[in-house]
Formats: sequence, structure tokens, C-alpha cells
Amino acid sequence: MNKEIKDELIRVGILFLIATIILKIIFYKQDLFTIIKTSLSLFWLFVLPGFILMYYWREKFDFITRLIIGTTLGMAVIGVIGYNLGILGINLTIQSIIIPALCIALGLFLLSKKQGNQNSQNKSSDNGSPE
Amino acid sequence: MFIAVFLFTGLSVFENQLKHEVPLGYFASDAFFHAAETGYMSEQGRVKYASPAVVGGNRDVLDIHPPLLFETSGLFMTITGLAGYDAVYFTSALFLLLTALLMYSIIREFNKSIAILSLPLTILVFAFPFNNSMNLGQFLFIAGAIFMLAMIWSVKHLKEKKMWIVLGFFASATAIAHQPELIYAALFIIALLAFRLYKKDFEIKTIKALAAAGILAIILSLYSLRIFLMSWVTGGTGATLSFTTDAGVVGRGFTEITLMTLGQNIYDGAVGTIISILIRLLIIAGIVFTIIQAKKRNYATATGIFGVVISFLIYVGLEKRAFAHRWLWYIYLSVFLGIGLYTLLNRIVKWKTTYSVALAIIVLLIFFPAVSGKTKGTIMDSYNWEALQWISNNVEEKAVVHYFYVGNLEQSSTLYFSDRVSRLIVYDYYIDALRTGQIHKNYSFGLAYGYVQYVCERGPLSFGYYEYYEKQSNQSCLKEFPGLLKGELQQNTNICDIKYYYFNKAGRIEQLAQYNMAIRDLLLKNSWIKEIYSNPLVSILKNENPGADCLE
Repeated sequence: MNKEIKDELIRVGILFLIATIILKIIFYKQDLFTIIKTSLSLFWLFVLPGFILMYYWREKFDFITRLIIGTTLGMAVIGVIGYNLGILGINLTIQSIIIPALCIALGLFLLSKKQGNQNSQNKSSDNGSPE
Repeated sequence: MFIAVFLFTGLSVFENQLKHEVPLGYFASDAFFHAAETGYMSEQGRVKYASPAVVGGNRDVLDIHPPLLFETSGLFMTITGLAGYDAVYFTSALFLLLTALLMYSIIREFNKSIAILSLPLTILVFAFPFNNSMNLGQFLFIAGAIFMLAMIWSVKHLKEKKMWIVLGFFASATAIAHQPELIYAALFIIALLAFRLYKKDFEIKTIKALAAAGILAIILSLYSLRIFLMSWVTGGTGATLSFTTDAGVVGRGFTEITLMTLGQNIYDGAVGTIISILIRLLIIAGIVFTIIQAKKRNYATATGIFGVVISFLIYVGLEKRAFAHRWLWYIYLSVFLGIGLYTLLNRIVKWKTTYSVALAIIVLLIFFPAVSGKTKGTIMDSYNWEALQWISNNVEEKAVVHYFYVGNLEQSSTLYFSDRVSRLIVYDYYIDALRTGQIHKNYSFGLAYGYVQYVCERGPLSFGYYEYYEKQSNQSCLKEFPGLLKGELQQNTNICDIKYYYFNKAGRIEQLAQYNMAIRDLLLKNSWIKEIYSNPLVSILKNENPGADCLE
């Protein structure tokens, strides 16, 4: 299972590289630093948080679906939570750090909890099986 | 490849750069308004209060517009360092891309090949006049549409564990992105439930999940919805339910779109006609095949039909709130083109997904040069932009700047970038004055404003209203809605009372520019009126002694 997650994160990493290349082609007059910063921002703010949250349903939805829905979910979460935090006085700079970090942390926590449940289910069915 | 081509096309107005000295791709009031607000809110560090330049100098008027665009663009702007106008445009193009990809995801669950074949059509959202959504700055609508489709996707999967949380977030995002799309999504859900009830495919769990999602959405969007109720609903949204044959959109500057518009403005001549006919025939074929195979229930076609039906709600008085969905017809109808193409090709040869990929690439490469690069420039020129930025950095915060003829900047929201209260000459009266051949003591100026209600805070969770367009020294935040804002939108102003004068030295209407210069030259004869800023197009004067007779 960990190999699976590792493989998916590698795929996301490759996607990030492809996205950066695409942005550099589209905005070829722009300096590379700005392009990389923009690409990183897109992935940090929108793609990663949502994709990792969608990992909860990885058995139900394939990679492409989780990527598209996840990016949309990332935008929704960051927009909604960010707006509410802003009303409470938390500024955009802090929001841009903590919301994606919390989403990623939550996604990983839910995943490890789900894995833990599955492992204990597997153990108890192993214990119950005849020799 | 699709993503690259879509973004290249949608952002071709950026001239292959991410950062710009002036707002590129901005041709209408709404566009400038959103960019100005995003820039201001980002500087403030949060999305809460409207820019004083938009609300008569008030610093504590709550923004009454759905905040999601400002929030996401503001965050993007904060991390990337892009200017507000670049961040807003880029984010909106990204929203449009995701809208196309969401439709693709919905179709894909029905048939992968059809989904791939449907994708290239969506790039035509950048063909005229469907590109009005971007060119005329209808960014809030685009933000609403993406989350409306996201809601539709998540409702389909509500049976999955905890999917109600996803729906809740999408519903909340729709609520704070653009409220009409929340209503439309709710109508879709009601229609879906009614259909399931009819088909005896109904579960109580679904209602429970919907209720949970609804409660979550309300909690997350309560603050924004409260402001929406107090402003747009109390004050009126402008839409009235009644039967009509006129969308009223042409009067707002939108180009009319009918079913005959589909396929147009892609290529000229015979090629263009053939492509246009092919697109329409394939869509019709797709609809026919869908009807023939109606027994195979299809969520994707239901979504497509729904999107198109919304756009005909203009006939019950929903005006531009419904009309706007016509800009997305290529996305909604893509499923039918995909079905039409797939079904026909499958009858000729056993059609594989790899063939769909190849054909989609070919179609994409046919459409791409036809729609890419067609939108160029901006109505904002670099000289006026520079001058507005100079005002923002050098003129005291509480100043009011009076603008005489300013050429292309007739749309007053361009002046919000000065970050100061602006009064723009009323052109009809200015032209009348010009015709007299004389310089007058009084001219009529209108306030550049963007809100029709000013919602203010009476306490931590208590709101009220300001009464006047311009900030008053002893104003209080009233509990009851005072009706329309008061105060003079247009003021007959004594030219000698003005502190800051802004002139364009040239413009589309040369006589008005010459009249500008005649007034400017007369004013400069006074020792207390000096030119404080000048560039090849703009002259800004400061009156150190407002009230003294300046027309001798």
C-alpha cells in the first residue's frame, strides 16, 4: 500500500514537472524563476491539498478523476476556509501556508487511519482462518 | 496536451508573459472592478472590506460580492507575487479549464472514448462571442459554474462514504462564488431526486447525506450569505420572475447568442461554413442517439441538457444570470458531439479509445489556430495606468480626484486603480458645454462607485447600512435598510473648488481633448494651481487654494 502511495506521489511530481514545462512554453518570455514559483503555487494551493484529500476514495476513483476533482476540491477548500479565516483576521500569507498544510496533513491522517483499519481487519481474518 | 492547448488559447492575450505592466485582456468595467478589489484586498491581507475607491471613501464597507474569486486570486497573488489583474485573469482561465475537465470527468464515467472526443469542442469557449465571459470580466459567473458542475458530480457519488463532506464544500464554494449557480445546482438535485422517486430508485440515506452537506455548506458560507441577503436580496438583484422574450443582455453590452451561433467565428469562408455545419450536425446526431437510447440512463447527457436549459431561463426573467450559461454551451453540448461522433464512427469501424485520442488531437489542432490569439490588448493604456498608479502613491488618501475627458477610460471602474475617490465628468453635459465654445464655471461630475448598498458592521455579528454614497463625517451604521443610497451621484461642481484635476491631452474624440487642454491652460494661469504630474497623455493639476476664483 505504501508503494502505491509512493507511486502516486511520483506521478504527481511528474505532473508538476510537466505543468512547469507547459507554463514555460505558454509564457516563454517570462523568467524561469517566476514560472517555477507559479507552478509550485498552483500545486501547493490547489492541486496537492485536494488530491491528497481525494485519496480517501482511491479505490473508487482513478488517478485522473481524483486529480481533476481533487484540484477543484482544493480550490473550494482553500477558498471557503480561507475566506472564513480572513473574517477572523488571519491574513492571506498565513492562510496560504496553513490551509494547504492542514489539508495535506488531514488527508494523510485519514489515509493512515483507513490503512490501520484495513490492516487490523486483515489480521483478524488471518487469525480466524483455519490452518 | 489538452490542458496545454486550452491554457495557451485562454491566456494568449497575455502575450506569452505572466507579469505585465498594465492589465491585459481587460475590456469592460466588471473586469477592472474584480482586479481592483482583489488587489486592494490582497494588500489588506484579507477578503472582507471593499476598496474605499469603490465605495465613496469608506474604509469599513463590507464587500457584498461573492468572495471566492477574490480569495483564491488573492492567495495566488500573495504567493506568486503577480499583480492582482494578472492573478484574477489567470485564475479565471484556470476555472474555465476546470469547468471543461469536470464535464469531461462526468462524461468519462459514462464512456471514456466519448469523453475524449468531446474535449476539443470545449476550447471553443474562447471563440467569439462565447469568449464574452472572459473578455467582459464575468469572472464571478465562471467561478460559480465550476463549483455548480462539481456539485453535480459529487451528488452522483453521494453513496460513497463521507462524500457529503465534499458536496458540502462544493456547495459552500458555489454559495460564495456566485449565488445563482447554487440555486441552479439545487434545482438539478431536486429534479434528480424526483426522477429517482419516479424510478423507485430512491433511498432515505441520500436525503440524510444531502441534509448533512447542506448544513455544512450553510455553516461555511453563513457570513457571506448573510451579507448577500442584506445587500442583493434586500436591495434587489435586478431580476424579476416574469415571462419575457428578451434577455435584456444586448443592452448590457453582451453579444446575443442563439443556437445558430454555434460553430460560427471559427474559420472564415467555405472551411468555416463546413466546420460550423459539422459541429451542429454532430451535436444534433448526439441528441438523436441519446433520445433513441433513452433507456440507458445517462448522467452526462442529463448534465449537458441541464446546462443548456438554464440558459433558456431568460424567458422567465432571469436575464443575464441565465444568459451567462450560453457562454458555456460548448462545454455542456460537448457530450452530444462526443456521442454523435462516437456512434457514427463506431458504425464504420470498431472504434477504440486510441482512435479517439488520435482524432481528438487532430480536432484540437484544427480548432486551436482558429481561436488562439484572437483576443489582444486592453482598453487601459500605459500612460493612464502610470498616472493612476502615481495618484495611488502620491495623493493623500482622502483626496477626491476629478477626471475630465479620459478617452478610453470612460468605464469608471478603471479609475478604482487610483485608490482614491474619483469623480468623472458627465460626458453628455461636457459635450454640450464644448458646443457653447466657452469654458464654464460649473461642470457635472459623477461619482465612480461600484456598490448599490453599503453594508457595515454594527457589532461582531451584527450588520447595518450606510446611507450615503460618499463617506460622511458623522455617519452611523443604521440597523434598518434605508433604501437606495443617498447623496449626489452627479454633482454640479464649481471648477475652482476642485483640488485635483486629471486631463487626457489626446483621445478618441479630439475636440474633447482640446477642450480639456483649454480648461487646463486657463487653470494654470493661476499661481496656486500647478501641474504636479505629466506624461505624454496625462496632465494632473493641484489646486492649493480651492474656492478662490480661478477663471479670471
